[in-house]
Amino acid sequence: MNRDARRTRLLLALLVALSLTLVTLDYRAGGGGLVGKLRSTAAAVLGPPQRAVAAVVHPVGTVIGSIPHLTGYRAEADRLRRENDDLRAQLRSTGADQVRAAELDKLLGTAGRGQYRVVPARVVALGGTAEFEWTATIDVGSRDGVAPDMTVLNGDGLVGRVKTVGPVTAVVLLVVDPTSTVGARLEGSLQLGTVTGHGAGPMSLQLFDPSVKVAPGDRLVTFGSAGSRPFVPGLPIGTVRAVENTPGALTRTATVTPYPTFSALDLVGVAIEPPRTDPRDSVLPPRP
Amino acid sequence: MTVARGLLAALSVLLGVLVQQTVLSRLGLPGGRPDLVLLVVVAVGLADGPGAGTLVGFGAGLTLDCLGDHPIGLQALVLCLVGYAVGRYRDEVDRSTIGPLLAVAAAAAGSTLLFAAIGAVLSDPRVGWTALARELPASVGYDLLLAPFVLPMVTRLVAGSGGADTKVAPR
Repeated sequence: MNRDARRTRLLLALLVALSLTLVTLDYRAGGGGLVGKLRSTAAAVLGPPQRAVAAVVHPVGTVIGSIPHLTGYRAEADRLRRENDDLRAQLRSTGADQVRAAELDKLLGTAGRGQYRVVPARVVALGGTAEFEWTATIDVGSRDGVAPDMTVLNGDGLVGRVKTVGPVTAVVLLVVDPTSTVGARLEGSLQLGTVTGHGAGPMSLQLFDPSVKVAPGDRLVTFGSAGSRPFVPGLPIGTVRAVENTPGALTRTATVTPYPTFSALDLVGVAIEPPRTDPRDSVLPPRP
Repeated sequence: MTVARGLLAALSVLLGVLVQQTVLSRLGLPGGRPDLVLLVVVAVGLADGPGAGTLVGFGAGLTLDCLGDHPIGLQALVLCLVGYAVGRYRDEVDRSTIGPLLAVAAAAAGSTLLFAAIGAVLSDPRVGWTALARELPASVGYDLLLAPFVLPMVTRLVAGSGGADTKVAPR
């Protein structure tokens, strides 16, 4: 018994040391090297089951939502009720299909206005695998031409960027993640700044020029990265919600409401080819 | 822990990871979400003791690490400590009916705090007081809600397949 306890403690010490080593290695390598390989292997192995489970769960969720509790005794009533439910579920899933078609239309509209070539994808897993983390897993991967540091968008605007790619899945770092920072440009001007995520809270904007006039309702688009990676230019990011006035500050800060709804992401697109010219403000929806 | 039980434990971890990511995370629950994988690790620790808890916790954590976007090894570290601690105190836990629930609450709170602490050491911008104040009660609450369903299921799956050190097995 005593020897067992000692062996267990030794095992614990070994595994703790091993995980600390992995953390250090990953931190140093910045996502490459041996740990990077570990990640892509995991994506390759677990990607297919992730997609399969998501495919099963989607329709089942719709059906479960439509079945009320069956409490009747008579078989006939049950049968009729079940038939009714089936029909209702069918109706509902037709509704879901219509919603999806509309979403796809919107995505293609956005991609068309910005001249981005996109691969449409569905979110199979939302929310990171650790607390405090804002990522999503989508059902396209290297086989569909997706590579790390590509921009992810939906019909509303910028969603995030691709981090890890497996053969049939990819992990997306959402722009609301606190580690995510995007170069942004105010609509109709050349004023630049950075937009940083704050999880469930609104994002924050820091303008490089403190004398710039910003007002709530002003809209932001991506400035675009060198070579359009990780961010293509001209994608709508969000609208300014409130401006903070800190006299003497070196930059001007404001809070920003992002365009996409991050708690209900479903259809997204990966920009596998950037536009030939900066679309400027043309991707933004017309002002109401 | 026999080979069969190890395989079953690995299977429950995998199922936990998949259901966690594809179903629970998408429910859009306010504040946070239940941590199914943590519950599996707690169940294995209670059923099979500290050794099994440590191993399964490490494996489960490493799987989560590889699928996410935080430094690999973080969840592995946290969950192997959780598995060990739960297994270590399982005799005390067994004495009362609400013991397992207390263990789940302690594991949920402990893992969240430990994760936040390591994040703070690595100066991770994701970890802050507001995030912690939102995540901590949510993770403890949701885990407690799921525990009465998940714990018996995993215990039966892992412990029901035979082996000498069965402790919490039903029968």
